[in-house]
Amino acid sequence: MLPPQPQQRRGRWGDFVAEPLLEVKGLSVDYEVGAGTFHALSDVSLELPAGHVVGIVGETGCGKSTLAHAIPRLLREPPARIRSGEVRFRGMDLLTLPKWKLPLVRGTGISMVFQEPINSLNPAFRVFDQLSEAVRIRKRRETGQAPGVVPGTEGFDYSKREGPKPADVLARPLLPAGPEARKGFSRILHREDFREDALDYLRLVRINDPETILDLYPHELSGGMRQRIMIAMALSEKPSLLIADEPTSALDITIQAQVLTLMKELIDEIRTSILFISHDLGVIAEMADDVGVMYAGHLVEYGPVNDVYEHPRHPYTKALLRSAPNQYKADGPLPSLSGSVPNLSRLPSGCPFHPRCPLAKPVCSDDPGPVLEVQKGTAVGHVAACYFSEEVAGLP
Amino acid sequence: MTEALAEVRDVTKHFPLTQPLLAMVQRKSKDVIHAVERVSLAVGPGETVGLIGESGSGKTTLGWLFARLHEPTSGTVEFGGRDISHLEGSALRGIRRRVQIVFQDPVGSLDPRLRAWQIVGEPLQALERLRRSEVRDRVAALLPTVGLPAGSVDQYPHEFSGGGRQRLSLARALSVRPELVILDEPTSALDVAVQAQILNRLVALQRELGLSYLLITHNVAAVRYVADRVAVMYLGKIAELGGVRDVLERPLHPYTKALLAAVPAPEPGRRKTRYRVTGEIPSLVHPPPGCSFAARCPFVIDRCRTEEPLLRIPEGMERRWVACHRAEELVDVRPADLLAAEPASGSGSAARAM
Amino acid sequence: MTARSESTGSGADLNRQLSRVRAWIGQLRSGTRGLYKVLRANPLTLVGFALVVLITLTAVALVIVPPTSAVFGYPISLTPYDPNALLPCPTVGNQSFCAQPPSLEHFFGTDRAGRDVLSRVLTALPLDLAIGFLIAGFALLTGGALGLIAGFWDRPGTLGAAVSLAIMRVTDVFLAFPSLVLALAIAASLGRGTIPSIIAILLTWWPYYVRLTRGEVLAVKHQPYVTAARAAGVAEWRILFRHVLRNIAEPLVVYFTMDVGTVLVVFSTISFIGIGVPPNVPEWGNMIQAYSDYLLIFPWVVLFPGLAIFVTVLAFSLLGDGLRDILDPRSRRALSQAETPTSAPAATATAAGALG
Repeated sequence: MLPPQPQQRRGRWGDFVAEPLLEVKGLSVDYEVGAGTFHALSDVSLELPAGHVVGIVGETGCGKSTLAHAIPRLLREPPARIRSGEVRFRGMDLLTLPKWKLPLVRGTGISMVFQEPINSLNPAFRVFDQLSEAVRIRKRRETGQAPGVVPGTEGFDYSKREGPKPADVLARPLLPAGPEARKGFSRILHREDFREDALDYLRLVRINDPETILDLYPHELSGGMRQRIMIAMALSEKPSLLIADEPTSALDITIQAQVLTLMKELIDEIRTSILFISHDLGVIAEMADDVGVMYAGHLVEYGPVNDVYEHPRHPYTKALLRSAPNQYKADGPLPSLSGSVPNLSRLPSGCPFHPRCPLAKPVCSDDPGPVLEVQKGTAVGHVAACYFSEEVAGLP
Repeated sequence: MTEALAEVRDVTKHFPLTQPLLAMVQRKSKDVIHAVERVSLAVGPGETVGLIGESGSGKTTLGWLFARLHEPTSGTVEFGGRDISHLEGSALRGIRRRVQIVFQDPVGSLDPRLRAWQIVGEPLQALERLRRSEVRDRVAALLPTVGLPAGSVDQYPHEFSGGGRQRLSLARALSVRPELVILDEPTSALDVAVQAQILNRLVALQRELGLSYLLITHNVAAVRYVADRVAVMYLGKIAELGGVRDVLERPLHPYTKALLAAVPAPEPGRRKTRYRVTGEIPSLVHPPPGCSFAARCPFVIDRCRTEEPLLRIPEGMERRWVACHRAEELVDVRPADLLAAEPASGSGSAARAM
Repeated sequence: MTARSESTGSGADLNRQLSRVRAWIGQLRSGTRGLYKVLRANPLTLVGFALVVLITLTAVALVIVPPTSAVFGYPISLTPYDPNALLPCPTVGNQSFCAQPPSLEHFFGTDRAGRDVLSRVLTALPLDLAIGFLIAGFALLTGGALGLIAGFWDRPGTLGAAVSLAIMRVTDVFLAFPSLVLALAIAASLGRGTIPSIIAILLTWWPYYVRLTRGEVLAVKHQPYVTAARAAGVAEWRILFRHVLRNIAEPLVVYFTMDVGTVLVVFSTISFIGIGVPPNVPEWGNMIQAYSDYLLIFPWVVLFPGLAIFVTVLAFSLLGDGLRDILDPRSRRALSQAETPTSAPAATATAAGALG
């Protein structure tokens, strides 16, 4: 059940956008392994309007990474199993798309940045080899030499007031690969042509001395540098949606601040929408317009980030905000949440949080649990899944 | 001034890198990693000293020097007034009863094939020569003090949660009743809610047992909560040292200001900020001459690149040490000044670049 | 019982002893339960396990009750016939057809000398199995010990490093030869017979264990829990036995289990070539060799010993494959987090951490 949407939707830059870029409806994902079935996601619904940055925050095991991988269908189907739900990107349901059409979506449609770039970059190839691969693919799609999205419809410019017609992009016929594609050696021979473009990408992500960096191997670079290269590769095809799964969690604090600043500047310049996953409330506050809070596979609260942080309407959100390190006060012990995250194969009945919740009443353990409801007295679009959300404000 | 419990004086630690054969033939001088350079720091009885820094700062190496897991290349390591820099064998084991360490990696520092009581009781077996039966009983009594059920003595490490494993490491360190516990990133691998639990536990145990802590971390808020004094390290040297309130609320060293500005805080308005400090952490093998922070410092002058600033008390202050030539001038610069608001509009050059 | 610190009297002592016994029984039960779970989850492992148990029990039984034993005049052998007895052959005219195909009286048929193939295959079982275990076991002990030394005392600049270097270079020399060729050369120079061929294989087999053990020791040596043990004041030799051996045992045992099968094949090959066991002693390789020319005429004499080798090696391979899951306390638990994407806050790499 989708939360009711406001009538008019304004994008981040004040423009009107018709349809949400990404719609997740009732997504439920299970992992089936020997020990049992782990309900990684339970009935998650959210909307990502074009031009927005949506943050997903939660602790380890809450399902945010599963969500990030489920959307572009990167989950390995056994052991994962998508039990139900839809993922609509530009109107097309990605979950029912035939597998051969998926590469069309990835790249120009959806792109991903992961946590540990040393794992995402091939250690056997230099930076130049990997970047030039990204450049090559983009150039071939743009000129019709590779099958893919018909040129002219990629890289949507959000400063205009129209949106792409949903389903048009992916329903259009494929361009056949041009005759040049059949030449097996073209990839190697033309690699040097891409050097200038590769340098441009490195300058785009503010790498000084790109000439030197281009010839290095991933293990010779620092973590911050590797992550910038990953961002460059992810943005190389001007995706409409960038999914960033803890992109800065493995970096040092000052480097993390630099990379986040870079991402903020790039968002403004290229106008990609971002689904930003993090366990760090501060990072989400820095990056996101809207935030979704996840617990044990459920989305328990969603809304504009300032409003959710200042007026949380779910007890878990409140507890999470209170345990945030910057809130440490010197008097008395730190507020902490008792108990631990439930085992995903044995979720509590009703609301997943009720065993640890200070507001729990008998109705909270009745199935089905609370669903996301609009909260009165808060900003537009702020929803929370709690029967007693009014009382959350009164919690210490 | 009370006698320091543990102290390092002017201590340096270099790690040699294996030389490629060609360089050996050419008789080039061996490369070393300058992990810690001429650091002096003391921890008093019952005190908590925080050690803040990023990767390459040398904080873990310094912690290991305090625990005598490394031998200093030069300088001295003292404990209880005694020089322990080059002790070996049973004399060193005597020290181990008084200094213990909780390691960074809660998964790797627990032998996956041993049960909880064997892991936690290992120092007891080695240092107090207790028999297996006694060890098991002692461990069963010890686990509740770190928040674990006594019945979990027979479980394997993988059966515990991340927080549980961290508590096991802590219990192991506390089993021999040490005087100084070195905590190497005790909260980094944990969720936010569990971090708070562990920090509470650490504070309570310190009060109960009269422990001293050396808290090594990059989590500034944890230091603010637990520590009495704090040292900020950069590239193997101490950049700033002082009381925790002073250093964190009125930082003097540009690196401290940069570090504090970088910490993401869940405050409104953060979205509009842009971090203004650029550059990467320089190499530990070939550290730059002069101040190691010169390449990234927003306030750098020529003197910084040639003359290395020494750790000193700035004029007009007391009980605070800074290693910066311009410390007095920059007193009024706050961390927030390093976060500029976003410019009016996107430059567009990036879009053209694509 | 040794003296214990008296705190609350003998009643508390008894309780503590009882609780310890209970804990031990509980561990045993959970261990068997874990074994049962793994066996149920992997049908192939179960097959391997069952076969190995069956084969080993048969071998042991055959040793206890040799083929030609009798009790009070009653033959109680486990083999249907005496493996060396030349049984009467049916004759047609003046041609005797001793080599009979499998029938109800001779399940595996008979060979040209009229001996029952089934009895010979069974008699050969303890010999082959014992040789397999013997050689692989000896190689494990000698090669393993050398690998342990080469791996553990390998700090650059010490005597240990020089010794390690020497051990590894000698090992490399042995590894450079194809083991079968080397074994043949040694056996040929030592002469025929069971013992010389065993020695030959032994000399070529230990290097593999050196390399394997050293690799495992090096991996374990740098683990944080070894450093933690040092920080806890544990003496070096104690670290070796407590942490290193315990953690390298599992890959070694797995390799050993599968190696028994490999040794068996090599030994049979040596006998097959004619250098190993004396001609008439029942041994699988021997039997195959004797009738290799007659494969198309009397296939059963070659088929069944070959099948015996195949089944034995297969059983040990399957068991060895699943042994990892049985032995590792971690995989005895469910593979719950195995393939789920997770973005747990990353602990910084220990290498970077060690440098601060």
